[in-house]
Amino acid sequence: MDLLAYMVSIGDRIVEALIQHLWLAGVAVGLGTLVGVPLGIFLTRAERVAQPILGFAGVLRTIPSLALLGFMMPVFGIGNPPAIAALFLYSLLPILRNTYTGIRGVDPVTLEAAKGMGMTDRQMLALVQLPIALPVIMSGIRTSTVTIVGWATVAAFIGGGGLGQLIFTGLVMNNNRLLLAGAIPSALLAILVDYFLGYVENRVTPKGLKVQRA
Amino acid sequence: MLRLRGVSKVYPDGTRAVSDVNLDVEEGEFVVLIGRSGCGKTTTLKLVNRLIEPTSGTIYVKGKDTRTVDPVVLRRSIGYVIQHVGLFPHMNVVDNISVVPRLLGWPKEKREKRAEELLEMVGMEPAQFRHKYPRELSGGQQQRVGVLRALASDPDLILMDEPFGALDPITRELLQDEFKRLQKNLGKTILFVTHDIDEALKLADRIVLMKDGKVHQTGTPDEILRQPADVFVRTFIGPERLVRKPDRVLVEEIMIRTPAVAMADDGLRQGLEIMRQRRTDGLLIVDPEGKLEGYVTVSAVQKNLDVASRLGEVSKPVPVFAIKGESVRDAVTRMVDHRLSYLPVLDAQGVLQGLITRSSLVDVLVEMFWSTNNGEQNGDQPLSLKGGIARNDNDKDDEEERKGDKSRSAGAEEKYSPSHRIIILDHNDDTHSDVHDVDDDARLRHASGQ
Repeated sequence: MDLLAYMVSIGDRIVEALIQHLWLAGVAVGLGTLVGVPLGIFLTRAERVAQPILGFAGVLRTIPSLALLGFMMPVFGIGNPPAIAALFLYSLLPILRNTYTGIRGVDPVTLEAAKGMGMTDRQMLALVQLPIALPVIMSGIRTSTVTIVGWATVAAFIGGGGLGQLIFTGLVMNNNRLLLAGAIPSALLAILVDYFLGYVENRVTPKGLKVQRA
Repeated sequence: MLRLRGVSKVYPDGTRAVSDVNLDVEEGEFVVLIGRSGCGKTTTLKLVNRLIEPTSGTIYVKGKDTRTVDPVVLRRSIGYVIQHVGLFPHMNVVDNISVVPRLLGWPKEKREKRAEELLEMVGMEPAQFRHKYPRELSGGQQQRVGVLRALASDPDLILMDEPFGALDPITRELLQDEFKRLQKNLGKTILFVTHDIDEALKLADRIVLMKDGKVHQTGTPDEILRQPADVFVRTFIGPERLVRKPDRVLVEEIMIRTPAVAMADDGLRQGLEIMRQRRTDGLLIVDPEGKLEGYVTVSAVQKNLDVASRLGEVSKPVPVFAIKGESVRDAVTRMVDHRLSYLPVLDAQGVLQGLITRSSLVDVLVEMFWSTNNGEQNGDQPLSLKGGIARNDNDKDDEEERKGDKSRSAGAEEKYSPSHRIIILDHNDDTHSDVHDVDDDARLRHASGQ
């Protein structure tokens, strides 16, 4: 009860941090999607570079988050920009890989039919490949978002905002209540975001493909 | 409607998938391309809608060189149905059918009306099916939709690549009948690929048999059945199909080629000995040129053992005989009319060719009903059923035909030894060739960079 009362008392700070947190994660994942989806589509048409690029994106993800943040500082200084850059790089791989595998996973027979019926490459992409791959792509974005919402807390270490700031400050000041006031909302946020995106994923799955799973 | 002139497709690795194919398909004609896996039939089909580009040669669709037409525009003007249907899983039935009209920019209402009209045509209630997705349909329903999709924009020419290959036999028959009827009603021109000879014989106005990328023989189903160009075609058609029509089986195909014969100057004892060895109760008497002079029975010989010395003295003229090239049906009618148990077969000069007996007729029946796989034959009665079966007894130029026939039958007799039949059965193994087709397609796709 004590904690709850405390959290209510600093409600403004929490909400502000929450918004900042969402903004950080949102911008990172947004950029990741903007780059990852088109790049993934491009890779399905450029098989030769696909494996090296996917491999590189995989390597990026294995770099420890703090280390990656450290790498960003010389380039972007401190504050939000390096945090966003690092989170963006992290978000890229799941989106990129799911887009690539989702589109590659479309039955070649379906594509042959589409081509034989006179679809242009672009029409095949828009009318056949993307709709069929959409659930897979969406699931990549979801995975990415949930991870980034968690990792965005680390942004505070290089001067970025968000719930991490509360946690960081709490740690430094040995203030457990402040720490929890940042940790609990960020955990809840991750769960909520996952749930919400799961719903979106289900919504964008074409009905004809859902039948298949049943 | 469709003309192929000297069309070849050579892959960079040197594989000649299609080689110098010339083919004309008339408007409203149903032409079936048939052959074993890898014979180039599917490649030929895909050359037409430019899914594969020819290395050389020209293809004309409605008089237009396809190279001068944008491939996308070309494909939209040609219906296309593939074996695995390839319906779009994320679209419902109506949307699937309406794909080409949509690409052509038809208004939504017109598209839906057309789709419903088509569904009704194949007996799929639009209200029940229009919102279903491919996964909710049976294989037969899916392929119906696949065919309707090709018909949607009312193209004059439709390409079909083993469209019924993946269906169970009953559904396949049903769809074949349905489609043949549809095709006749709509007057569409069809180029159809299959490896199933029954399907080809059933559907085709004209069959184009391909081998090693070349057109091997072309003709109506009847022509192919009657006059298979060579052993390859006969094997492909399958001997059991060739014998199925009794009025097309000729006497020389079922006759005993080495009946027991003697000459008029042979002695009676000698005659008896031949009969004993051959286990017959009679002998045909021939002159030195092989012309039939008469016959003797065992009882006539025994009765006259003391009074006569030469078989010629006891022989009687043969009342009825068959002429080579006659159908078995006619010959049997004559045997029944004259209450005979055998009938000699002569050529036009009266030279004895063979003998039809009741037991050789039984062999024919056995062959017809039990096909050829358990072809037990009498060792001394080389039954050349599958020889030149596809001959017609009404042919005008009798003389020439018969000469040709003689050599053909003789050759065929050798080729259809029992051991060869096992090979034939192998060829008809559907699963086997299906597997190959899949491989083949994958290879082609790969090779054409799709």
